[in-house]
Amino acid sequence: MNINDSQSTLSAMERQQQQQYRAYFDGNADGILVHDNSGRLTDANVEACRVLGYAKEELLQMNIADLETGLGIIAAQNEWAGLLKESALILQRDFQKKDGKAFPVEIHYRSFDRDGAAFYECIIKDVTERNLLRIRERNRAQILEQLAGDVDIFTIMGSVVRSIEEEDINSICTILLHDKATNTLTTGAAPGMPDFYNEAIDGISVGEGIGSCGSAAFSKQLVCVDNIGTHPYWAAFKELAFRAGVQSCWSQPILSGTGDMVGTFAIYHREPRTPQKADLDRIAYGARFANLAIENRRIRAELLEHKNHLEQLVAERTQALIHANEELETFSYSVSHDLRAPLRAIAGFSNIMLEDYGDKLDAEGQKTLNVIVSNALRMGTLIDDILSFSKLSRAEKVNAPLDMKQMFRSVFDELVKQESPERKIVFELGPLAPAVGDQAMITQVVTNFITNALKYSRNKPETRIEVSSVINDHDIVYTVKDNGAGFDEKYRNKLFKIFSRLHLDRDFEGTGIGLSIVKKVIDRHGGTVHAAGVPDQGASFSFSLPLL
Amino acid sequence: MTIKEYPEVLLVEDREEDATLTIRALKKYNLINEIKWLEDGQQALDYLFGTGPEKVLQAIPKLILLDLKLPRVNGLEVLEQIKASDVLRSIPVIMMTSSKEDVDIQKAYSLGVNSYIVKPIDFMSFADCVKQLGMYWLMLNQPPKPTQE
Repeated sequence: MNINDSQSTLSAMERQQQQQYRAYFDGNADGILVHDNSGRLTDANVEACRVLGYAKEELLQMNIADLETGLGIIAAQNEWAGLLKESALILQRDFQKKDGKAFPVEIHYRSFDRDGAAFYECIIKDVTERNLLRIRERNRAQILEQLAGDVDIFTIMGSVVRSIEEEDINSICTILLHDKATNTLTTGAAPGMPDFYNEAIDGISVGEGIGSCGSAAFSKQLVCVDNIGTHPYWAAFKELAFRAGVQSCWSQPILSGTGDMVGTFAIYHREPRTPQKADLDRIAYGARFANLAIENRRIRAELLEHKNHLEQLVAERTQALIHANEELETFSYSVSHDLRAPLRAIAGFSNIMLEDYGDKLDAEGQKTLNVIVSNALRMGTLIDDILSFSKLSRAEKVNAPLDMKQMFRSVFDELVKQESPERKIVFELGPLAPAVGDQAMITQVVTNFITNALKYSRNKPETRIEVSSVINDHDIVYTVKDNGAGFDEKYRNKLFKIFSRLHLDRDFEGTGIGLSIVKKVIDRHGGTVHAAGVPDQGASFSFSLPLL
Repeated sequence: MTIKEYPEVLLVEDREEDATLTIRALKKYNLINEIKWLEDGQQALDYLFGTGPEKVLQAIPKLILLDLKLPRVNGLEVLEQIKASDVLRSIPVIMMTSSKEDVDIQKAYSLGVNSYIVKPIDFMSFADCVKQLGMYWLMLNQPPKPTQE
């Protein structure tokens, strides 16, 4: 090619374009090579020379195929060069530097014509780092997936070790675990080392001068032994290492988030070697990742242990509760049998006395016997009430729709039968909203409210009982209002307590259990109870049931 | 052997006081002439099945009043054996107990009890209860004719 000739034929515009290309070519951050149809290099920029380690003059004596290692894809370039006319092409190949070191490159190919001949421009990018990152990302995702699953820690440590080995194919990695109790190191994962080696170092002590790992665990610092053959730390293990075929060992302590010694992460090589920055990054990354995995599995094991412990605790408590409940059941059963029988005898024999010897007793004697009888009966009522109270908490609650108006009506009708026909009673039953609850339990509540209303208003010339309901946002409140004896509101907090009463038995008999049963039932339904009253003017009692 | 040789009512009750009260109530209303009182379930079974050491003949009362809680063999077990016997099955059995426990009531009915009475503490009510029982089972109720085996 005659340069002078071609220059003389260039237009001013073409010259300007060529100058622009030159600036782009020389100043490019990526290496650029140009070769002709036969692969002979015709140009190379500064970066290409730097990356490949050749001077430009040397490169211009070479063929593009000389740079490629392995399969000669580029050498056969003239066979597929036609494609380049149609589109750009990106190739992933391995190139060799002048010093013989191979590295992966990504080549962006494009062809152009100059003076009727085809030339090829190759932009070459060193993708060593990018490839390593890809490997790392892929392996990391895989190990994280193992961590999320049920894979055991030794398998996962094996994966961590293998993933670092993949980043540096000439390395062998190991994880040793620290045993706190004995302050020794045991093999965690070392799939690349021979078994005899792993067995020999399993259980070595932590201490300065005990190989790279023992020393690293001791100092909690990175220990890099570049040459096992000469380093004093390895004096005792040198022969073993040589038999295993390794000559350098860098060991990074694995420390937990709280700085506790977990173990060591080590990288071995088959020849003496000093770590470069990438190596140091890699070993630190390996140790961090190993710690992540170990910590994760430790926490998981702890959680499992806690869970099992809790489950066991719950089982024990449940058993204790079942036992207590059974005892209570037995207790109330025998109460209902055995406490009642003597009472029947007391009442019965007092009656026999009255019937058979009544004529021998004076009025005081007969009255005395009547007191005995009435107290025996009262105690019978007390036993019944206590039993139904204690049964309440054990009874199963069965929710069903309840026609509250119907319930109040039938309870009232039943109770009013026991009243004297002369008694004047006005019963006002409003339009009551239906509810959801346990039929038997809520009936007991209604019975209690109506019983109380009837009982405490019996001294009035006319009894008035009003039943109404109000629907709120979250519940329905049912209220029973009477015009009876009422109560002093300062004692209101005592109303629903078991055995506590606000009236004398002489005035109004009772056991003090009824309203506590009411409270228990309503509590179990998730509702509340309320009472208001004015002495001698009446009381109103309410209970609420949640809207379901 | 005539039917007169058998008691009209068999009372099985371990508490003497309760037995006294029951017998008194039955007699008060002139409901019975004869009553046999036994104190536990084993005695009752021996008596009814003729298996006791006294080797008495099998007795067939017109009505059995049976307490639930009894020493040795309890009332429910006695009831079970009575109702399992072809000969004794038709005798009305009234369970009389202190218990209002649902489980007992259910069990007794599933075993075929004829009535289940919770003994009231009040003697007047108790006497009234016994009276009604006696009237119904001894006078109104029509038992099947005894069959010849």
